[in-house]
Amino acid sequence: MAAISSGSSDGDDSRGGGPRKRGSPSDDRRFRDADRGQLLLVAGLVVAVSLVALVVLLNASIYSENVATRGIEATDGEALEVRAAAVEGTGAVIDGTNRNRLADHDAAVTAVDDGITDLDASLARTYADRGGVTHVSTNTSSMERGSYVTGNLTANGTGGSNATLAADVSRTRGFVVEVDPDSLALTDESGATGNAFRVEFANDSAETRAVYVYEDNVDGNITVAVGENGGDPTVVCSASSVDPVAVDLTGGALGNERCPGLWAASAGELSGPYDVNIERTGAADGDAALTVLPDSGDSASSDHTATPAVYDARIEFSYRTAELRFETTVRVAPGEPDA
Amino acid sequence: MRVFDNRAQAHTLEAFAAAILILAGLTFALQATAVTPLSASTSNQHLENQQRAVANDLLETSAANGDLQDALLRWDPDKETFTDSRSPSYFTGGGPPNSFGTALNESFGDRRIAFNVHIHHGPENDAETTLVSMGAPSDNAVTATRTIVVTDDANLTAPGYENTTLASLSDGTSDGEFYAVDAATGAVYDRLEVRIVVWQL
Repeated sequence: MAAISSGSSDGDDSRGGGPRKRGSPSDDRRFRDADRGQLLLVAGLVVAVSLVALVVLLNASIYSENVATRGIEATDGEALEVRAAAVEGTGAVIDGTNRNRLADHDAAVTAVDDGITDLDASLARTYADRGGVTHVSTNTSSMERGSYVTGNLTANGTGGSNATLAADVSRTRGFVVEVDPDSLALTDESGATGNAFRVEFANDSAETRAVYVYEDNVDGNITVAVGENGGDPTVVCSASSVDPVAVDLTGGALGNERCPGLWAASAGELSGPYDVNIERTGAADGDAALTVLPDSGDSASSDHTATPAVYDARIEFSYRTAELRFETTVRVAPGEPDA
Repeated sequence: MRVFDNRAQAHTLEAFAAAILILAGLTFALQATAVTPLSASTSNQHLENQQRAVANDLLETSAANGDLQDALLRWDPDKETFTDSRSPSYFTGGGPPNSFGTALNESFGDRRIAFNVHIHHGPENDAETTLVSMGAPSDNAVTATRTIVVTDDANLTAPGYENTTLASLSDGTSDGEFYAVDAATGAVYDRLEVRIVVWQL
């Protein structure tokens, strides 16, 4: 622009000046000034619009950066999920094998071992299509041997109204008593010791804890109470009558209701090995099932049916993905109370 | 003559300005649309995470209290259906009529969230049975899975078949057929992988 205007003014100056010749360069100059203004305006507009576009662009890239680095937390719990599947699968194998009542402990241990090998293959297949590698293994020597005890709530030929479900046990799991509500004694907290059906835990030092199950004579609810050394019991929980109602002693449940602290307040308080007895069986119809770990030997003695069982198993579990390596050893004993 | 050179530069700049204006206008128009649960946005990602968490937790709690297993075993072996005698053999308007179905309806159905429930089973885990199908999932669907182990001595929970065990169906002692075959060794019948697909309607 500078070159153009100086060229033109040079031409004007050399010609000296007549009105005709003067007019046209002055027009030119005015025209160029107007051009300059327009140019400035347009350039300003371009800069402004570019800045706006830049802001939009920057915002978009920040957003995609944000989205791209997100979503890791959604898969955080995957290793734990696989671990839970392995533990649950092992638990089902152990309990299913015990319910099959195999002839001896060796057969039960072999069946559980085979079941866990099968579980390993199944888990590996399931998680392979998610990009994870799983491995579950066990050692037959790590499995503790015990007894699976089942029976009706009867004395079963012992002569009285009491029977021993399992004698001299150090651990109990999956202890569920299912009772017919209509058969239960109609009584209350103070009358329970004299009238109600009870599950009694007694250790070698003559300490006892009894779990009473009766129908409350005021509101008609099925009530579970715990008594210490033959004293008056304390109510732990109660639920409206359904048919039949399951009292889960180890899991702490009465029917569909939670019954927290039932095990901790009863057998959990005893030290050393204990006997599990059912007493006053005339005051309840139903059946009981439990798995026990004897204090010594492989089998617990019982007045009811005790069959060889696997009490627990230790599994080595590992899970690997591109970003994660997870290994752990878990002892699996389904339905065992924490206490 | 030289004045035209000036004009050309101005024209070029103006052309650029116009182009940028059009582009900015377009971008603005695209960005200014309302954010719905289905549009790709931050809130959409959030919703997916939330729905996945709800679906996972629902499966976890249902498995823990036994509702999930009961729902999987609510199968009529004679008519080979989940829905008693109605057609089709799976549910389309909501969850099955049991605690698991109630949990599904309360967590998703009541909030205008659709769900499909599929069960994967078989020796290669490649067979699929549908428990609930509410249609084809959208692009923003999320999935949650949980594996349930059923044993040979598990009883069906369908009305009238409470005393039928899976083993008795597979060895022919009882009439009818279960949707999964006995695919595991020993006391285990099969491992049923439950897959919930959830998406916003």
